[in-house]
Parts: sequence; structure tokens; C-alpha cells
Amino acid sequence: MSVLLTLQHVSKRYPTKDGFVEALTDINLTIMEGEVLALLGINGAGKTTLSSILATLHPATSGTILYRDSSIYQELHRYKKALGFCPQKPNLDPALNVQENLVFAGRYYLMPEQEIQARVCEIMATFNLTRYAQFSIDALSGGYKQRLLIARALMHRPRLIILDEPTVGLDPDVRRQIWDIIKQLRAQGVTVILTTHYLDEAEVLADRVCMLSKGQILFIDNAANLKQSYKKENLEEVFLHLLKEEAA
Amino acid sequence: MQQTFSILKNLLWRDLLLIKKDFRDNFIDMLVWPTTASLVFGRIMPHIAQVDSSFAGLTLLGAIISIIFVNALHHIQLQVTDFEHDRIIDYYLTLPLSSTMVFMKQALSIVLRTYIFGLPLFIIAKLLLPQAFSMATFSFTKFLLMFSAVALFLAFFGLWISSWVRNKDAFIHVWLRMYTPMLWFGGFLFSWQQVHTKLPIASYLMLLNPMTYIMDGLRASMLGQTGFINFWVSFGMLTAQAALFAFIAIRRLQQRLDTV
Repeated sequence: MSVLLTLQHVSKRYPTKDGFVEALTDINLTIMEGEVLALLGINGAGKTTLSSILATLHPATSGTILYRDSSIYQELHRYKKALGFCPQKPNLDPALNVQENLVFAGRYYLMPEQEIQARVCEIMATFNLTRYAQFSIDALSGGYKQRLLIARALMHRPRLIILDEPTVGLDPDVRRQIWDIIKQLRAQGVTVILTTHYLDEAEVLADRVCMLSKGQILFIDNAANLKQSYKKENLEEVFLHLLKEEAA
Repeated sequence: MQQTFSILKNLLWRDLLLIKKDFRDNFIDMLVWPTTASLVFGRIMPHIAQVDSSFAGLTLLGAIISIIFVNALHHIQLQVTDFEHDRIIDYYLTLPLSSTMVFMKQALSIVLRTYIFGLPLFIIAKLLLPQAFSMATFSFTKFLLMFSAVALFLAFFGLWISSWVRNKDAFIHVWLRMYTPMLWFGGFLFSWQQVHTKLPIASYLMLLNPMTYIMDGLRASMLGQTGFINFWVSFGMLTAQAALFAFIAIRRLQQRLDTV
């Protein structure tokens, strides 16, 4: 596997009334092509900040982010074309129906019209959205909104997809369906950055897990190695152990 | 660059689709104020007060401009709401476009709305008060130039407002503290020349208000140059201010939303 993304000394500060908050400090990370990397951490650990920087929503305050060998900021359009971003909170276009949301997503990425039609049919079938094609966004349940959000992010066949808490608040069966989609993406060689609170999700889906705490990386490794290193049964126990260690 | 324009075109196509969906309701809303103004100042006031019937033309144009302004501000209010809640803007910011182009698109969307809803109002004005608008004084070229400058100005002025107004609740301050004085001191019911003749100091203060150039510029293009600020002065001032607000608004929005 070749390196897709390299983060070198990435930091993010947000200005506040009293000075600034350091949301990320000196993040060094390499993400391989085709891997599923889970970003873990408690609330405020910096997961969403990191994923929004990688999604180019916000710039890093300092440090370098390389996509293959070029800075994402120097090759912004090329990088954005290869990227699909699914935010934590659905930001679907409420003025468009389900099908229109997907059609326009294809148009924004300048896909040929014929390909858009074929891709919309394919992706609606994959996400069980076909019968809701003409539904307005407000008429969809939370689970279907989430499916559509992921479907829209995948519409232009990105090489890298960032999923920020994609299964939060979903029924177990919908959650499992989204897991299957992530597994399919992995099988297709798409790189997935998955931000999650669910440790079982990370354990099942991720090739490597990256735990963040107070804006810093605590560890990056695969789940098996972590369990072995800390002599724990599952990732949740490793996580709790590390949190206790950190608090002490 | 060609790709950027193609994406912009598709984003504006989406806006056109939305305009089409709600066209009838929105257009009826847009008609209410100009129609009311034409009835009050053209049909009622001449009978009960010493109001010249030509005054109706002046005020009807003022009413059309004010409703176009309201329409632009309404869409800016929706944009501010989006910053606070849905964050659809985040989706646009992840598209293969620079943030500058995303904000330009937001402004162009307002320009599009101003054209689609605003231009027909002038035709309706001619139908409502045919005697007030003579084709002899109407310059189509000047009107189109001025209308385009107005549309651009309102779009970028609105974008500038969205760069600093805190949230949708704070938008009430914009309506009351900014829109109201801008409109009433901008020559909604009188021309700059009329004020200059009677109250010169007040007329110089009026020159600080962009609405003065909008009102007098459009009136000069439709009613003839006599009695109004020179058309080219109004056009130049408005275009320059649109460019200035575009520059400031985009920079401030990039800071507000902390964009790449």
C-alpha cells in the first residue's frame, strides 16, 4: 500500500476571548491508500477538528498535509476532487429531493450527465434509497438521511472518504448496513477515515485505530496489537485503561 | 478556471431550479409593495393632498427598489441561519472550488434572484402608472447597466452583512438600524436634487448613503436625467462600492467561517 496522506506537525488553534484554544497539537500521521483508519477519542479530543481540516473545511494553523507528495493547499482542487466528506450533522440540500441531491452532487463534480444517471441509480440501489427518490429531505428518517449523506459523498467516486460519526443515533440494523458499506468501500480500495465513538465499530472496521486525547495522538496501531500490548480483551478495555492512565 | 466556471454554473442552475419551484408565491410577495405604493401615491394621494401625480412614478420606483432590497436581505438572513444551523455552506466548501468562489456564488445567486424578480416589476410599474413613465425619457442601455450595478451592489452588500451579523435573531437590528434609515434617507420619497435645493447639508450627507445612488441612478435611466444625480456618477459610485463590499465581505467571511 502506498502513502495517500501525510500529516507533519499539524496544529490547530482557535482564538477565544482569553487567548486561544489548542484543538490539535503536533499531529504526525501517515494514512495509507485503501486503509480504514478510525479516529477515536472522547468528546473534545480533536477528532472532528482533524477530520474537518482533512476535509479542507478549516485550515491547519501550522504544519504540512501532503496528498501523495503535494501539499493539499497547493493542489486544493485536485485533492478536493479525490475527497468525499460526510459530516456529523446532515447538511443535505433541503430544497432538493433525494434524487436531486445526488444528481447535483454529480454535476458539481462535473460528471458527464449519462454517467450521473447511471451512478444515481446504482448508488440509490446500494443505499436502499430507490423508493425514496422523490421524497423531500425533511420526510426522511435519521437513518435514511445518514445513508443519503454517505451516498452523496460517494457520488463522484472519491479515493478518500471522511466519515465523521456516521452511525451516531442510528438503529442497530442501519448501523450494520453502514458497516457493510464501509467494508465494501475498503474492498474497492477507497481510503476511509472514520471518526467514531463506538469502539466495537472501530474494532470491526478499522485497519488501524488512532486515539486522540486533548488534541494529541495517544497511539496509532491495529486493534490486535493494541489488545495484545495492553493485555485486554477488546478495544473498549484498552480505551478505558488508557483514559485512566492519562487521568492519573 | 474553466472547471471552476462549470461548477459555478451548476450551482447557479440549482438556484434557478429553486426559483422556479417557488416562483409564483415569491413573485406575488414582490408585487404587493409596489402595487400598494402605486395605488396610494397614484390614485389616492392626488385626491386628498397636494401631491402631483408624477410623484407616484418617483415613489413607485422607490418601492420597487426597496422590495428588491428586502428580497436580497431575506436571502442573506437565510444564509446567516445556515451558518448557525444546517451548514449547507460546508458542503459547498468541500467542492473543488476556492472559498472565494463559493462566496461569489452566494452573491451571484442573489444577483440572479434580483434579475428574475426585479426586472418584471419595472414592466408592471409601466402598466400600473402608464402616464408616469414615458418611453421618451427611458434609456434601455442605461437602465440595464444601472440595474446590473444595483443587483451586484445588493448582493455584495448583503454578503458583507452576513460576514458580521451574529445570528438570525440579530438580523432584526439590520432591518431596523440599517435598512430603515438607508431607505428613508436614500431618497425613497424624494430625489437628491430636491433635498439639495432646500437642505444642502442634508443632501451632502445623503451622498454617503449608497441607496441615494441606487434611487437616483435608476430614476435617471427611466425618467430622464433632469432632476437627478448624473447617471454616470451614480453608476460609477455604485459599481465601486459593490467592488469594495465584495472584497471586504469575502475576506471577512473567510475569517468568520475559518475557511481554507
